[in-house]
Amino acid sequence: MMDPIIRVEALTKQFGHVAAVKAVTFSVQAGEVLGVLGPNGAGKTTMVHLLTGLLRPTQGTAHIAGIDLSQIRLVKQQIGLMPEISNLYEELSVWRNLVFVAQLYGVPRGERGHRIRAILHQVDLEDRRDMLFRRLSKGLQRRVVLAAALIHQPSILILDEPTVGLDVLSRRLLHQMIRSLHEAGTTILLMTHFIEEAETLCNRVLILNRGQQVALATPAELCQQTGASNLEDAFVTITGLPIESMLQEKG
Amino acid sequence: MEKRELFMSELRAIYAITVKDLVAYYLKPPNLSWGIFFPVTITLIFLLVRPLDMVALAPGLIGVAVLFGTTSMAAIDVTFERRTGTLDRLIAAPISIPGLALAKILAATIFGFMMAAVMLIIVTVYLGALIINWSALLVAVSLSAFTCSAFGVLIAVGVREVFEAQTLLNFFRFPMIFLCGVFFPFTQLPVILIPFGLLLPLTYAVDLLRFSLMGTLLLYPPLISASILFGYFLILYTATILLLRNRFR
Repeated sequence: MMDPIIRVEALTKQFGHVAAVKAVTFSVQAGEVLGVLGPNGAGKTTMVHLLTGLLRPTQGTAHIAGIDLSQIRLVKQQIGLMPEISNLYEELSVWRNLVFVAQLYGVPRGERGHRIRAILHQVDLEDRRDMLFRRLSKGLQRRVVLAAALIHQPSILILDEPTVGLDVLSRRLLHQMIRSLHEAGTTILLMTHFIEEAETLCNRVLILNRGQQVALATPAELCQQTGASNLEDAFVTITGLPIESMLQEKG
Repeated sequence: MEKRELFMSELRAIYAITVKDLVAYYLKPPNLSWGIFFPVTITLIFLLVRPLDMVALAPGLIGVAVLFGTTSMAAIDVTFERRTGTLDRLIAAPISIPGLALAKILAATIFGFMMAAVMLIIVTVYLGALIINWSALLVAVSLSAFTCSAFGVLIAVGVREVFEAQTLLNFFRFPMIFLCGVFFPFTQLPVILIPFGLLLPLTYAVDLLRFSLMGTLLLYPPLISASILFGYFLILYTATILLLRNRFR
């Protein structure tokens, strides 16, 4: 078996007395899609911040494409990040935003135009290239953010809640793009709290609850282990969320 | 990646962020017009109050224009980027924290140069001031703009909202106008206030500007004033790096 492209060992992030991520350990093979599932506040975004250099771990290590997290600048070059918020420049056009991100990641000048055109085609935004980012709908903005994450051809793509707040059409379009990227061999770490998203897009699922890793298996294995008929029921069983009692309380 | 390659990629990223900041924030029509109107307005105010002393006031006016221009815009740039999450995007990109801080300072510095240029045109063309020493002027404007920009970025990194940054900046900026020899020669300050004036970087910036425009010095030889100003820049730049690291640890 090949060395995993992502190897996380006992990764911990402590904020004062609160552990946002507690000794999480997992690995991801090249070309795999690993879904990280968890309720709000489970530690998914903290995990993203740890793997992308926005936070430093309190304990534990991680290797991304064979590079230790301590060499964070080299790690960052390997990662394409689509954050939860569409953090591009509102006052710049789609094209200018992508040129900036390409410059930032050192895409050679001669390749930039060609690469941006190809990615805009991939995310179906060729006709919006000259529009200001702020003039785009939320769904289109998410696609530009995905394009920005792909501009330097990263070996690993980290998607943090990529479809939150999108309508059904935009969500399905984004799902299709994620599938295409998977088929093209990109390794994807998908943080989500949409269970059907994890069920349909991911090879394996890591479940976090209150910062702790509570399960890591394929969706089918998780259903089998819990005796549930679908991943949602398995998730509720594993996380121990008191959903039934809460529903009864609310009448 | 080799060290040279890393260094070059750092320089490219610094350049990209500086140009992006100029295009996205500084060179927008409202900010550009503010960059022109602010120096014109403060000149007119002084012209009405002290019409005979305008040439003597020229160094102070340039210093104030650079101070207000760079700090205000740097504060807007950084706090806006924090709020929209674009600063997180930059932190997650392959650039070091010192490189990122330098890029932010550079963009504000270039804006400071523009403010100084507008002010210089006003004081030389319309008020009759002469430039005695061009190289001293270049050093004075560069060091003033770098130092003031670093100050603006430092304050902005430490707060969340633009109004907080501007309030905190005003806490330092307005006393500087009175304590740094802007309105009247530094040596005419009450003795009790002189130590406070000596602690502020604008004092040395105005003194260097006075040397380049009028050929007179009130404090130290130009090299010493320039060194002190550079020292201030290093302190503020280092503090910015430490604060940024602290925010993302």
